[in-house]
Amino acid sequence: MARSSNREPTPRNRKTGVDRGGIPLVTGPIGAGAPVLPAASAEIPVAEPIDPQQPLGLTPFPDPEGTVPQLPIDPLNIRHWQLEHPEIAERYSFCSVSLPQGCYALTVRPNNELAEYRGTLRVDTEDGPLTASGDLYRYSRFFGELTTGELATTATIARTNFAGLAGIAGLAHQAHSRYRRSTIPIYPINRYHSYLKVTSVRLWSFVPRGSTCTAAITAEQYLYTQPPAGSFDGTFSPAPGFRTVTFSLHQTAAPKGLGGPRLEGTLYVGGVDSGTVEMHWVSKYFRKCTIEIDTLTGAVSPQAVPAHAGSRAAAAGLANEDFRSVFASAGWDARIEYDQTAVPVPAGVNANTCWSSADLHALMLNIRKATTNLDTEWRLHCLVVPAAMGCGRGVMYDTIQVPREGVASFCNDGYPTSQSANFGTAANQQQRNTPRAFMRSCSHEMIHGFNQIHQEQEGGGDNSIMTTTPSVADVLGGPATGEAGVFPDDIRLEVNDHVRHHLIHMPDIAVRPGGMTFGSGHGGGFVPERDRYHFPIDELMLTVEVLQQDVAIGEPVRIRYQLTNTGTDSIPVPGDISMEAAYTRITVIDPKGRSKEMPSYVIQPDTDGTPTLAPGESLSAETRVFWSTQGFAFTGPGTHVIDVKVLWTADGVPCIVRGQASVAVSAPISEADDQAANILLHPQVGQYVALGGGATHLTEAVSRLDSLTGTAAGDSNGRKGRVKALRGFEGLLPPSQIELDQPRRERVASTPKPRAATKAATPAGRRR
Amino acid sequence: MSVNGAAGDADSSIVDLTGSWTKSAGTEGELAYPDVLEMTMLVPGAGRYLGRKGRPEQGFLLWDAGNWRLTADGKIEISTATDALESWPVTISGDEMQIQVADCVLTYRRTNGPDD
Repeated sequence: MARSSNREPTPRNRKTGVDRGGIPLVTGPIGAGAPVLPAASAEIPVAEPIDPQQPLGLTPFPDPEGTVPQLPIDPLNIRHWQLEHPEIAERYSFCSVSLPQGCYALTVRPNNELAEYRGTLRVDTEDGPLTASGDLYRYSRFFGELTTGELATTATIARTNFAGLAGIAGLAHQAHSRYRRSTIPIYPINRYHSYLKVTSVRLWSFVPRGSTCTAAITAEQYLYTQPPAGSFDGTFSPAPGFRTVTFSLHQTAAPKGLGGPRLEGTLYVGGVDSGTVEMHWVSKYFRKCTIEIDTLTGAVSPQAVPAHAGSRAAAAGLANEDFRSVFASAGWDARIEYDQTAVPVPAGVNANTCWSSADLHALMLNIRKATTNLDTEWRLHCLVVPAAMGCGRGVMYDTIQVPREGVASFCNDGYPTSQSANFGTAANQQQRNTPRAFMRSCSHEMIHGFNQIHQEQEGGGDNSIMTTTPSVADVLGGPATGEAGVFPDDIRLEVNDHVRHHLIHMPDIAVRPGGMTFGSGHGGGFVPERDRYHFPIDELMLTVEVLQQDVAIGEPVRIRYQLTNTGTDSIPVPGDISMEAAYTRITVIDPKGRSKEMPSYVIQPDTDGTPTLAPGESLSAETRVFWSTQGFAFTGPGTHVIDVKVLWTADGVPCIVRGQASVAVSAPISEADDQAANILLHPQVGQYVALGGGATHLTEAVSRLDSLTGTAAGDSNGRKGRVKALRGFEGLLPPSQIELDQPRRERVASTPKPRAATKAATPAGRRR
Repeated sequence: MSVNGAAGDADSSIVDLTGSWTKSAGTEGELAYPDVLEMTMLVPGAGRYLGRKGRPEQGFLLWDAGNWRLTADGKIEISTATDALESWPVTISGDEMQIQVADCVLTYRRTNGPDD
């Protein structure tokens, strides 16, 4: 066991004045008064890759009738299993639902609501695990133009003849869904309602023969609160969203001529049938946009260049790379409109010097298509002007009024050696004379327009579009240095995986022009795990200890995890690694490899910043793994893996350290244990545990826990016995039960309450 | 711009800002600016920078990565996260650099220089 230190947090090792092992000392009046963060720092949700095991998950869900057996089946050995279990195989069969990559038009209609939600779901399986996300926009089920303010009026009307309206509405929906969605739909900004972060997808089913094959898509739903008038940054509900939804879907025939798969089914919220869902595959692309390019008199715009041998475009058999292929590298369908080519120079502007943002914005408003409507089109304007060397090659100038409507590119600017010694043949050349580099820098500005930032801040510079130009040159280096190739010949006209992920899976409102302000969602919230620094075990080690073994179904599992500096240098770490502090994530992997995230039900942000952990020092915390908004952790027998990750940012570098432990879950061995499992696997009991016990307002939970002493198999005289699963509830049981069971109360009193099970500020989880 | 100290009372173009500059003080609004500026100089008075966050509460950085240039009118021109070029009054005194940005004053101290 690693050594621990009992050093408590002190003003010295808190944020101000702490030596954070490379993180700067802040001793002056930093943050004097209330700190004012840019609006763009707001956190936004972004879908992450789903564990590759999950799409193979075989547990039928939802199965409200409980008709389908939950059997331990190896998905890779189905035939063998069928031979071994002929009596079951005779009655049940495996099937799967097809969910091709691309964009789906999505409609969600909750029961008993006047609103329906339309949007898109993006399913991405390219280059790895499945990632899926969606966006929903609020509409009236009866009147297409309902806004939030009109809801009351509509409700009044609807109450007068709900059934009649619903019937008419049903026909309208059918027509809307079946015949109008053959392209990626675009919805108005002010209708934006919520983001769907898909957390699991099950395409396989094990169903009674002759039954419909179903798929299940489960997502955290993040509600978006629209900003007040004149502002553009609304807020999303905090992780893990305001609720979890599951779409149980079956395939239906697509209308003739409308192509891709169509799925229909049921919306489940908390396992309860809560409405209907429709999905219709509409495009192999995930998103679409239009870019209008207007060119000033005396300027030239970037044009297509020969496809690089190693490019996606070349692999697709295209001769050239252009703006469209750049966006295609992110899975976007971009329509490029080269429009005006001799835009007059505005009065009072010298076109051959650096332009002000105000002049660019004014010109954009004057010359862009009069029909521009950001509610019906994701449209970006690109203005190409001459400017001069040293003006920055281009700019995403439009932080004026409506965000991100326009960008500019400077054809007479170029590649001064004051910015890189590796510009090669482009050195001190104008962009207009270096076509490949020009295409790159102009694409860079366009993608800024869709709220993507420099890659130096997101994993480091590379040879991709969103790295700054001089860094690209330095990454390529000279003929004998750096990556293969040289600037400008070997510039990669593609976005990297990280930007691709953002462009596909960030919420619509954070990406589309006219949505949130530039920088939104880039405040350090989302960093893919692969982009984090993974500490080796000889620097930082996370050990996970399961505090009880041979666990019963229905029993909370207490774990202790400890972060230890095993190296020789101090390391900045979170001040608190308890679940509530939100630096720690727990995933439970069942015997079949299915993962379930177990986010904390209670959030209590860390206030200790990132103090350093000296060599030999440890931080530890305890929690009970039992239930989360994702469901119960242990619902069947077998060995489960508890995967614990601590994620934080130190000195601007996203970090991760990971540990695992196994726990054996045993099948019920007595009728009492079987009954106990049924009683305990109830969401309210789960919430009771997640809240740290004492939640007497959860009457169902209290009643169930109380009932256990009456049903437990004790002896034939009716004396109370103790079911095995209650072991995991020590310290949590309702007062009524403790009073009834005095010996247990004594045990409870001697057991410290894990901090993660309560919001009370106890020191567990702090530095030890 | 006033330039004193290590670089002497000299023309701004010969001031070498190469090194790691750590924010030692800042007024309200400072969180949007990097706690650390890693600066390199490629020609006299101009070069590149990389901004780094130093604290968890720092969100999106307005100066993330790009170019810097000292101008003749006593300012430092910095390319921002949007690639816009912005110029702000700068005072460099030895290993301390103070930049007046909009309503915010940022003080950076060089924690290692070109010879470190």
